Amino acid sequence: MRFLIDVFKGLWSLFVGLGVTFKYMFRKKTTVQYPEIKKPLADRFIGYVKMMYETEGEFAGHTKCVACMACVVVCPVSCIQVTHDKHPDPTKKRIANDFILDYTKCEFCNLCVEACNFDAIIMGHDYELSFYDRADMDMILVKDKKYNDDLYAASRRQTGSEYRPIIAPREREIVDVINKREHEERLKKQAEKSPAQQSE
Amino acid sequence: MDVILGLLYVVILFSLVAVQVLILVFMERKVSAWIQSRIGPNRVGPWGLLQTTADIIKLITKENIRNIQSDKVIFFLAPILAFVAPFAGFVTIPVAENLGIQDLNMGAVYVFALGSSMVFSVIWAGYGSNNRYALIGAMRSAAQMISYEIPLVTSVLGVFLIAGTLSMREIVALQESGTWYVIYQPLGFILFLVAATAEANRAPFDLPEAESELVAGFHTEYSGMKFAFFFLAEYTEMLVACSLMTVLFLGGWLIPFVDNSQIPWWIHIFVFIFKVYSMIFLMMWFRWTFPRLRVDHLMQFGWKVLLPFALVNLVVTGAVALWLKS
Amino acid sequence: MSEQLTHSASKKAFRKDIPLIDQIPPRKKHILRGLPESELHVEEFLMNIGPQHPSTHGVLRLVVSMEGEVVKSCEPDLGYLHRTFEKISENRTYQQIVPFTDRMDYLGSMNANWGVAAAVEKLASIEVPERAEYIRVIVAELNRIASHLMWMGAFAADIGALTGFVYGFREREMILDMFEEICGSRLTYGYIRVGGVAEDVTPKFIQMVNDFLKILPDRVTDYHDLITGNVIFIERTRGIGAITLDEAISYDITGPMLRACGLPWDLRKEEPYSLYSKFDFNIPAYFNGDCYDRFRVRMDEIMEAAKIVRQALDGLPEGDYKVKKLARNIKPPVGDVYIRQEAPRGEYGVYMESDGSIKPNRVKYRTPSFTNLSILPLAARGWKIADLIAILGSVDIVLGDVDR
Ligand code: SF4
Ligand code: SF4
Repeated sequence: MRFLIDVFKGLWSLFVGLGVTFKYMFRKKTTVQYPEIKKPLADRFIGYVKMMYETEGEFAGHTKCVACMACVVVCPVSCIQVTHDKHPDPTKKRIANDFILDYTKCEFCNLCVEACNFDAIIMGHDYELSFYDRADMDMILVKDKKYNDDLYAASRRQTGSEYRPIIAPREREIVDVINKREHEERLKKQAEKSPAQQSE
Repeated sequence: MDVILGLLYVVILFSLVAVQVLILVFMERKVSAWIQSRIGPNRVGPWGLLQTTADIIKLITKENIRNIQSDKVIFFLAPILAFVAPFAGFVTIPVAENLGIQDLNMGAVYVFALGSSMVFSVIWAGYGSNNRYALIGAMRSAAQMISYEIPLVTSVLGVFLIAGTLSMREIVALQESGTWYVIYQPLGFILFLVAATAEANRAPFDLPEAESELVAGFHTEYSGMKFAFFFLAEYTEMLVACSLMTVLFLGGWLIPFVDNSQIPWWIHIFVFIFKVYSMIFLMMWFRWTFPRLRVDHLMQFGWKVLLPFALVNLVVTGAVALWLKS
Repeated sequence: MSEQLTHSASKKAFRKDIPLIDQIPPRKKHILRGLPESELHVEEFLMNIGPQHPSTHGVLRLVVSMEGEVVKSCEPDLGYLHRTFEKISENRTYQQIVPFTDRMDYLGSMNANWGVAAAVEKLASIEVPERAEYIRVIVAELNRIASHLMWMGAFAADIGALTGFVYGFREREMILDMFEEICGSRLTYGYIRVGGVAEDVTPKFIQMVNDFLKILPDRVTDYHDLITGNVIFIERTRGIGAITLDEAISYDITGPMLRACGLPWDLRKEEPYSLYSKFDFNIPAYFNGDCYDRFRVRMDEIMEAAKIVRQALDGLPEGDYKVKKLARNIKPPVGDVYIRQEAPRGEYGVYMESDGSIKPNRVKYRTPSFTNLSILPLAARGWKIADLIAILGSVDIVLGDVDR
């Protein structure tokens, strides 16, 4: 008898489990359809280190970084290198020439951003940081906004990613190649168009 | 002429079964996704319908890798046998009144016999691949299949006692007028469901391929098309088991409380498919809810719970049948 | 012959009553130690599990020698994830150490951060604001819940219930969202810093925690229905890998594994650090020391941690979230300190020795996973290979924590 009771108790526990899974079969799904729908990121999201530029005034377009080296010192894995030039603004001493960040090492710990007193670097909101080449992970967060914007545009064209700051040394060449190709295509289109217009 | 016709049947059957398996794999993914609050495949094709097709293409085009120390012939034969055995079981299953390849008067016995030959392929796969995980998986599988064969057959004997025949078509015909055998044999049905799940190596009895312990069990070393055959075999076996359940317990193609002779044959087919798929859904639901049994628990469950119940069921059925007759 | 059977549980499959909630009486002296002396000649069978295996939870390698399906001996082979964190920590300033601890116990990063922060604070006698302590308690307990949920899922998957795995992750995801809200990261937080926390909590975070605490009891009930009560699960876990209290103590087992053996030892109660003496919570303990009890201890701890979070959230005072004036490079006086705390996996200890410079002279982490893993060869001996996976799962190791 005890045996029978145990069997039925066991069966009942299985039915309870089936009930739970059945319940969730009709609940709202928790999946987020990733590439199309992206979860809104928190304001404090730590993606990658992003350089800030002066937006107004005489020196708009120049980087805010004055090469004070605070972030270099505080970084636990020493992945930041900064070289500097003389600042065009006479009130300031120095300006960063190259701001190189080795993403293979970065811990995304936010210490550098907290250390910076000039709001020159912030944490970007991009998490799609995959690369084909290790060399690409040496990002150069450069001083010239125009140059930077070029790279952004190029990488956006290439990868479709909104924020991707691919600033590897080789990238410059890629930008040039892409620009050249686009230019040629445009010329070709015009060449195609013009005979057609002529025939009309 | 007969040979050509027979071959034609086989080709049609194969394509039908292959398509069924594609649908089943897709269904498994969707069901598991729903159970787990996910969406499931939805990228390839509308509603993700072509996902399994894409998978199969991937498997076909994959390189065939063989462990250099494996036994060449056995390693090669195992997946073929694995697929052929349950596939041949389809021959006797009647889908509608006059549809079905061959109605043997020993139909049920034939299916069970073929089902038990599955164990060879599993042992071959485990032995042939020269891998310890595979060997353990195969050993488990052999023990499991042999010990679940007995309750499986014993649990349906009640049906045969009532029906008085072993021919599938006659068994279905006897269930006319809504008296499905599941009503006479509820215990038999449950036992058959459990034993068939175990026989098809489905969770919670999927010890031969217990992935948390044995990587992939007896087919650890298989890849590409050979793996696809095992995959196909698992689902085909499930299909056969559910078809058997439908035929033996759920009245086959018949719709209850309706004069079935008035209904066109294609509706019968749909009824049959609907019943089979409901049973398959049940199996999938089990799989995604229950943990896996341990090998000795499995044996004890088979011998100490399923078999006594099946025997009791058989004896009671026999006694009642005798009493009713006299 | 019957005494020679290794499995007291297996002899009685499906013959036990299934007490779902009530406590099982203390187990008799178990007979699991001795292996059966088979009259047949059985050849030993060496099997290599891992480092790439679906269920070793990372890169752990087990060399198992078996007789048939029975495990005769099992030897863990560690070191595949060794990253010399102790040495690295000795070459960093005190603030820079914190982000590295995230990588040790990556499922309980908050607790790992806290240990280092507390050690440095004690070494340099830094007074932490009360609000910061409250926030620390909240995030550490939330992390405990997340860690246990994740463990529950992984354990269920080890047993074969893959659905439990996804359910565990689903609720853990909500906690990760909260952590993303306050510190921007989802796995390696680096949130608890020396002298407080990195950033203040936001109203949205508090809202999220409240929402989570509201649904948690329902979900935990579901887990109990789906997993704890399931007869197959009980058969697979009850009595499996049981260790006695003496063995647990002599192997220096801590955390839920020790509490499953019957000793309600929890540093939050025994040596209340931070604010734990203020909160009202229980230490769940069971008596059998088997996988099932480890499971139940952790499931109960989820609810207890939720209770602490609730109280801490209600009592959250206004104020600073970190010490206002903290030197960029702390120079603690010469001395050493040992801090121990209750991490999700057990006692987490940090030993730090200062020589008066900006970098510690010696750092040693006592991580719970490593010591808890040491009992695996003993606990797994004589069980089946399927049980070995269950036992390994029930130890709750994080390989980053084991190898450091
Ligand atoms: S986030 Fe941390 S590791 Fe990365 S650059 Fe900044 S300080 Fe260095
Ligand atoms: S980024 Fe900020 S901290 Fe780093 S060098 Fe530039 S100004 Fe200094």
